[in-house]
Amino acid sequence: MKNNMNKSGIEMLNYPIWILRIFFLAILIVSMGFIVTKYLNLRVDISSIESNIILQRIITSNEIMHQDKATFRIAPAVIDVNKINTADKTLQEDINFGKDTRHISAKITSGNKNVNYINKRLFDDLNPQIGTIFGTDIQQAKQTYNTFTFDNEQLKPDKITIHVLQQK
Amino acid sequence: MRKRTKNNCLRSNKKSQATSESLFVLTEIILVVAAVFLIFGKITSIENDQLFLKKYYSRDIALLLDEIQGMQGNIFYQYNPPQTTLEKLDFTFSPTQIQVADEKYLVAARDLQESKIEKPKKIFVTKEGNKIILQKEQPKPLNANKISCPRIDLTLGKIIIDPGHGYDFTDETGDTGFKTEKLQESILIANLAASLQSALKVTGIYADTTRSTQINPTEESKTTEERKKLTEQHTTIISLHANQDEPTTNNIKAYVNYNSKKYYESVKLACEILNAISDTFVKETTGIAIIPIDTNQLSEDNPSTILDESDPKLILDDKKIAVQIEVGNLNTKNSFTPQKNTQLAIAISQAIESTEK
Repeated sequence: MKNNMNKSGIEMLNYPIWILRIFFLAILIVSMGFIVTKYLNLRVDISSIESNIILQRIITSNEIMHQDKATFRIAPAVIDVNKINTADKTLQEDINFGKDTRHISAKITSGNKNVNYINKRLFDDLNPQIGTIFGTDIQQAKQTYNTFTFDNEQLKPDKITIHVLQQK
Repeated sequence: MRKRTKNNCLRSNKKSQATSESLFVLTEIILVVAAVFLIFGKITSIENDQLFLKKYYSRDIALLLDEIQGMQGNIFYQYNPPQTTLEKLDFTFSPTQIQVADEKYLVAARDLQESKIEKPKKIFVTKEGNKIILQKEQPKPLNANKISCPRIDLTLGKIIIDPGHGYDFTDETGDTGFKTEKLQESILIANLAASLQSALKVTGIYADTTRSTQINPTEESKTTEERKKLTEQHTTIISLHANQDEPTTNNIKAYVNYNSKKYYESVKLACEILNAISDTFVKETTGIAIIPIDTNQLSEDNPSTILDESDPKLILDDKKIAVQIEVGNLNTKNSFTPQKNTQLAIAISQAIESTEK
């Protein structure tokens, strides 16, 4: 009688063990699926290099930098004061991702006064998020160059900071 | 009786235990098999769908074009990934978007010409002047002489062609231009001006000339000042010349007035014309250049003048769009034939027409 009781007790114990086994198996399978999907790495993230290319394009572009009138050579990082006022428009035309104005944004600060933007609204949206928990999905490239400003046929020492922000 | 019932009970318990055990084992097997099928199915579907390839190529080519757009000068690039996976895909390009099959990615390459390339083995990227062209076939050799033109809109208005030299061969002022054993600059340029006038007429553009294009040896020479007076009613001056240089070189040059109020417009027109000529005569052209000149150097107050009063470059008015083109070297072998003159005229007229657009 005692033996029989023990046997049926052990049998009763088997059910939860089996359910537990299946539960762990299910977890294992889901984990395997997750690992496989993760390591397939279908997300090709180029935002880091892309924002750096855009930064370099701004610094070598004749939309804001000085271009010699006779030789047409562009002097990278020599800011042409005469172009500052129209630079927002011309830079937007040069670095133009079409209708999608939320792909990339940039802020160009020369000296302390002149500020130009590419997609200002996007920049203003993304900039406050940097350094917060929401900022992990934002790619940024920022560079400050010691440079000159070309004003009235004269070169004056200046600084230019280019800050490119992009959603990953 | 009780014993039998107990035995039966035990047997049925064992039986149900075996059944439930086998059910659990079966569930486990089904789960494992289903999971294996699901994972392999997903991998196969990704492989067949080329999802990764599409994402990879759209982004990789976008980066390449972003970079090429920002570069100065002319570029030839062969996009040839190590594995021949390009062949599986179709590519569509526009200045703001790249599409690989159904995968799209943004690009900022305003000079990129719209095109569609189906299942290429390689992609050839060419940047000549202000154009980026992508092709699946090996393109013609790069015209490395081409230059990037200013991005400004032009309205040429009323055009006047200035055949640079006259036909009065008795005139001793040198107005008849350069001369070789077989060729006379004034005659060649008069023919070119006549062909250009006709070619422009075909495209709906009417142009006057500062001299008669019918060669008349008795016609009196016209000084630069006299010809300049004839341009008063016009907004664009195109002065035509040839040059004399080493036989091995054939440089095509355009002079523009550095102090002109229409300097950048003149540069744009000169640039388009030079690019069109060098495109028509890729092999024959050794170089092209736009040369800004300062016509004010003729000032009486400035003794170090480089232009004398009769210099034809003085036709380059500082309030008009004005270019002086040297279309080639008289000393180059077979440089000027009637056929070449027609081709030159067509190239220049096409450049003018495209600029007006």
